[in-house]
Amino acid sequence: MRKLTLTQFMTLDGVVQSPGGPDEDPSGGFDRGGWSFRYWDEQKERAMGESLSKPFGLVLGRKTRENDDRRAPGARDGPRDCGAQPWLPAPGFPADR
Amino acid sequence: MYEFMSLDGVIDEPRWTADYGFLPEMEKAIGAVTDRCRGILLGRTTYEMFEPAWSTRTVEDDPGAPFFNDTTKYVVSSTLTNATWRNSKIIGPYDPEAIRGLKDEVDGDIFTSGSGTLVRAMLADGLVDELHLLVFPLTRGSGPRLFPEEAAPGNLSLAACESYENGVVYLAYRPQA
Repeated sequence: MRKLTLTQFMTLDGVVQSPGGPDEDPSGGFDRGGWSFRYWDEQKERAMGESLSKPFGLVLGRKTRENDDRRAPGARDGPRDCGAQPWLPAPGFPADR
Repeated sequence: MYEFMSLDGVIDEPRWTADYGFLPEMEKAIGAVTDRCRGILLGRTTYEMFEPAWSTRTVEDDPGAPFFNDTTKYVVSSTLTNATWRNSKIIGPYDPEAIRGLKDEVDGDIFTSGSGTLVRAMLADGLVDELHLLVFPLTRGSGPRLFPEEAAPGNLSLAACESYENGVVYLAYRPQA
């Protein structure tokens, strides 16, 4: 059995909505999207890189998947791009393939 | 301002911290804060919990006892009229100007802990200069939060970050103007 590991960007008060851009998820009238940008640095990039360095499958909700497709078409299409190797079929959820 | 907080941001009466113990490193982190504080600002509820907990303890019982007993406690309350814990003053209902006055008057920093209602009001009014948070590795689900839904968003800068072997993380922040 594989482990399911959760990776989230979260504010100190626990908000996880729309870290990557104002248009990522404005649902519910959220107008402060993109809050993670100003903190991006080499250290964070390295930490993210390490967490993505091993082969993994990806389980995403529909909105996050559609958003990824819109912002970076093809980025999740194959192992070449981020080491993703689909192993986890998730009926009803868009996994990475 | 010093709080015990769950990972989901709840700061209710922290009976749940007992399972994790209070490690010497945690005492050192809080000691570094209390060492430069010359006043204690408390809401009524926390004052009423602290008084029976601290007033009978001595330094032999707990290294924090002299700080809590000997330092002047300023209590924000619209109902309390008589403070029985030694070195305590009731300063009346919450008034941001009174807190500003206190910051000018006290010869040193002012320590606040617990006091959720007071702390949320002071954060909203920009009166808190440092946030010292011990974040415990559990979620509480519901309960009073340090940052409620209706609070205005803001940026903070990280001043300290330590993790302990019991899974507790100490985070210190300064609000950015």
